[in-house]
Amino acid sequence: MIQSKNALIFAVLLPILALAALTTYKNFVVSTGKEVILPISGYDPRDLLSGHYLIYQIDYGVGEICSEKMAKRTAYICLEPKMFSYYEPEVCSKLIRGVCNYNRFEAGIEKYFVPEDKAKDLEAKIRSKTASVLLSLTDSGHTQVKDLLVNGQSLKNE
Amino acid sequence: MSKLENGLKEWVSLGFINLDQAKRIRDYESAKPESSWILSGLLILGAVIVGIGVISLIAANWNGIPDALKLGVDFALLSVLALAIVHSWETKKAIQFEVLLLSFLILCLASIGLISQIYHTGGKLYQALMLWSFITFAAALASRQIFVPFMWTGAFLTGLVFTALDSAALQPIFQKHYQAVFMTVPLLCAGFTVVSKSLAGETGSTRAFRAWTLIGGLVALFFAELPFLSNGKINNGLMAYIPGYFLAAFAAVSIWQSLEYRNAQKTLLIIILGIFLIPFHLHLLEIKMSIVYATFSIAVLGLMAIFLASLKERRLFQYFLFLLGMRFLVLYFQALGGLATTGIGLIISGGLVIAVAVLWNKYRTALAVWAERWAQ
Repeated sequence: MIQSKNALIFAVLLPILALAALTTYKNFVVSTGKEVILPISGYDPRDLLSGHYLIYQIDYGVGEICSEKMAKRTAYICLEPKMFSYYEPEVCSKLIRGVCNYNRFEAGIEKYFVPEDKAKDLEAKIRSKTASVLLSLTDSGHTQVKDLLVNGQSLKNE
Repeated sequence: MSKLENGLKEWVSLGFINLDQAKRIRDYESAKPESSWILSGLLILGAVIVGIGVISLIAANWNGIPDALKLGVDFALLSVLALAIVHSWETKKAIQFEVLLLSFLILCLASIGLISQIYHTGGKLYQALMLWSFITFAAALASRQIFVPFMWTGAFLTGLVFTALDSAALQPIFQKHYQAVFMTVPLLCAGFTVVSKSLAGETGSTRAFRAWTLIGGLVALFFAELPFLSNGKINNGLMAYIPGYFLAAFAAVSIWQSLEYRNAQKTLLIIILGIFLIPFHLHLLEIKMSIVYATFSIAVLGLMAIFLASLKERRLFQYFLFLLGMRFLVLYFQALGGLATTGIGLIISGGLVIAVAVLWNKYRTALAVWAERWAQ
């Protein structure tokens, strides 16, 4: 279907540029967002594409969230002031945008990828100690995981 | 002795061609560039294995390597592959071009995995597949062979089905309406086939979309018969069918306007399209008898076999005839229920399997000839 050299160059450049843009955006959120630390609890399954990860539930400390038992619906958690809403709140300095999947709030920050050889050790540490997650939030509610903390210590230093 | 050499000798002995014509054919064929399916297949297999290896390396998540270096190496590899693709296109190295393109597409998917891993994104596999499908769409279209677009379409359809059933944006429409989703998939592929054919002719992409139309149709017929997938409320499910209706209308108009088919073939294909849509709606009318679903599946398989024979697609005709026989066999088991597993039931079942195989083997050519003549 592609007949010219220019069209072919466009076709192979497009994914490289798109992936570069995705990386830049993720990096931008991590480096410029507001930092928040929230407690978690977790266990360890496996992702076929990306390897080992710890998957956990975040305690947002907001009380009842996603109480309506319904199919996926966009929802917001505000950490300052603490509140949950199905509509974007007008006043909120630390916002997390996500989706209510029945009674679970999912914001794409419930995974932390770990090296394959350390997965079991880290899982055991998280089970026995207090773990929390360091997040980076943008004003629009997009959130990125920066680090996993075990007893307040960064997992990257383990 | 090669197949061509045998053929030439036979045609010369029968007087169809003379020795001079045989020599010219031999010279023409030997001057053609080598195109080995085995070589292409092995190279493609090699590229797939290398791609899986890259994904496994990424999955290992080596913490000894800094993230910036991992990303740097990844983008450097992508760029080198992109340059090599353009170079092989310029130098007209067809097999090399296909292998490099396939490696590039697999590396793009692995790169999404790497970015997901470095930034700890919580996305699902179908979201990665959808992102990959969108960013590699143009690259997949560059292929001249069927394999790369076939693989791309498979990944896209997998991503699309799960997006429809699971994403926050589409789930309110398609939630649990598996029947509507499966009905829509082959119709979407048929739409892609029409667009690809009209824009670029009989390319690898057109053949890949057509192959997925047939595969998707067969898979959809299978799922149409599974009662546990039906969400039988007519008032809350019709929205999910609307994209399928538009695509079916587009397919019907395209068939009718096609210059490729004769009127009898067009009529037959539109009838098949109509019958194909029916079983996906039966649960809305609370029809649960398996014989009714089986009747529509058998009708679609039988009519498709006749249509394929009319196109002189004998191999596909025989596959569909075989599937038709198997469907009849399943119908027998459905009708007999537990009785089929008794001693006499098993004897009859075994006899039926043998009878279907013998009948298929005895009459497949005669049936193909009859169906080919029918549409003349």
